[in-house]
Amino acid sequence: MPLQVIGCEVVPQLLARLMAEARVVAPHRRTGADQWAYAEVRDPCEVELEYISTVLPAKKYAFPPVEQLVRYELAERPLMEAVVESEPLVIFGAHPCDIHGLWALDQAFCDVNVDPNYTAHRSGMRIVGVDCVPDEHCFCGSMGTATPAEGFDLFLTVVEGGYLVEIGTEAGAAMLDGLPTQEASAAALAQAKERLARRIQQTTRVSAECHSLPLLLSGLADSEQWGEHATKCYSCGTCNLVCPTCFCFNVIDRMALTLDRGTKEREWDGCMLEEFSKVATGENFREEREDRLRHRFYRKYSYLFTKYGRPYCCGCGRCVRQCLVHIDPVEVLNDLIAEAEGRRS
Amino acid sequence: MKPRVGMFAFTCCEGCGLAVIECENELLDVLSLIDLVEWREGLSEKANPPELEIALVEGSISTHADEQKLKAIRERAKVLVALGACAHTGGLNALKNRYGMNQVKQMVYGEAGAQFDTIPARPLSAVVPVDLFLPGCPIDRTEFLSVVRDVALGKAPRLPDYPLCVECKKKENVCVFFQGRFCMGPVVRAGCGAICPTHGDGCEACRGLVSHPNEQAHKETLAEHGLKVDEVLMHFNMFNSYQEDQPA
Repeated sequence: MPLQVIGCEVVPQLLARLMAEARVVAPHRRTGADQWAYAEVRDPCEVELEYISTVLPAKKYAFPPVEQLVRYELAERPLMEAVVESEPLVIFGAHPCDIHGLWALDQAFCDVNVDPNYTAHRSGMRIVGVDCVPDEHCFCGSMGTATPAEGFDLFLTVVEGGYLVEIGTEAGAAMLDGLPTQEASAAALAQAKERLARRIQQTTRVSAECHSLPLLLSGLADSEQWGEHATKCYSCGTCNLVCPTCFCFNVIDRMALTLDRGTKEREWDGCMLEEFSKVATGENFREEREDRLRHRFYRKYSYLFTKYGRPYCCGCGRCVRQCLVHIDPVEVLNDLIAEAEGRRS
Repeated sequence: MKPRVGMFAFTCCEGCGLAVIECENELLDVLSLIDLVEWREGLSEKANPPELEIALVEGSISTHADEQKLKAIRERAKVLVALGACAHTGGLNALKNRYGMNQVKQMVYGEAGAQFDTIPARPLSAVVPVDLFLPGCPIDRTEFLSVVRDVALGKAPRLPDYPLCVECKKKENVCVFFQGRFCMGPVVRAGCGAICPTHGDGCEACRGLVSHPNEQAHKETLAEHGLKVDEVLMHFNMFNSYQEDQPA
């Protein structure tokens, strides 16, 4: 099917149709600051698709911050049942970086031990992506995540008077059934191409090719720069929590006061938090801030990159936007790249 | 046998005791776990047994009489839990320690102040060994209930030892600093559900600092957002001004 274009006025119609069948979430502006968050759409006309990234990524729907896994009752015949919930959900307006983030979670949760809770959330989920205008913290151009090759049902790119629509799945094609669309003109295709090129160009740059990062980092575990960058780190875990590709969690037993029933819940955890790598004897494998900072960078740009073939960073810049002490992954990577080049020469 | 529990209050507003009374839906379940035998604020009768399994103590120690009473409670109790900011860090009460005791009495009571016995306010741990603490001003009800359950089960309760920012991020709150105000969250122990930032205020650090706070980074953050040195210290000191080397 050739690429289609829809007018701006068709977007509310598309939303209304989706809302009749599923819960639809889209970015909403938060009061009090120039920040955004995914929230349920109440009125199809209120959705704005021009926004800077949300505080939390779309992962909060596939892997909620707190989630019940197991419910149990202690009786003569004890009961233990898995809690797996799912609902039809449309994420409307996901940026390419967010779509890549979900790809990363898909690998982590479905690679060897398939996670039933995650897959239940994901199987009910449809994605309508939209392209964006980068700000100074975006670096998707360096991570190869500026445009999604897959992982969406529809993807909208702004063109004059409306959106160029890429159809990613059959479900995506069905979303457009009966809506007024027209075949994309050569001019619209050129505009979309130009918009993508400009987006990649505008993003902040990492000063080495992305695929060279794992090898480059392998020689830098002893760099003094980890300590220098970590001096100002709070170890507050903000970068973990807002990261679309971070997936670590802790499981908590919550027994009722009556001691006859309870639940097991998982909640987001993060490798930057001091207790994360503390084990039963009190030993902490990453006791110092710099150990934790280094570990996070190695996870993103080396270990998981090597394992799954793409960086575990989608270049969205959420971590630096939310970091009160401005620890910027691009700056840290560029300092390390400069050191690696210096060591080589 | 259910553990015998007493609740006691020293210098404080007894708001932590009130928070326990407010656990209305859960109080009967709590009483199925413990035997509450002594509590001036919450019980009309008291048993006064010579031995207690658990003593829950709120308030800081700010008179010589308090000191003697607390030592007596410690002798009676197997486990002593400091309840709330006053008992845990000295809380707001320790703000008076920066003045002379005569000056403080004069400021509050005028000439009538001379008759009062007052000494610099201290957290319980400065007077007797404390086994556990429940932070906050006031304590968090949910946390109280889970600690009671754990202690009754003979299990060590776990309090979060990560900054409040974790709870703000999970709730997707807009950072207080980005709203042009100030917050102690990045260095403060979580566990309250970030209640103040969630309702539009900055965190005042009533739960005390995490084990390894990056205080220097936070001083710089506060300064970057426009605070002068003494204003930065005010934020740090409101609930956490007690110093161990202060004279008793």
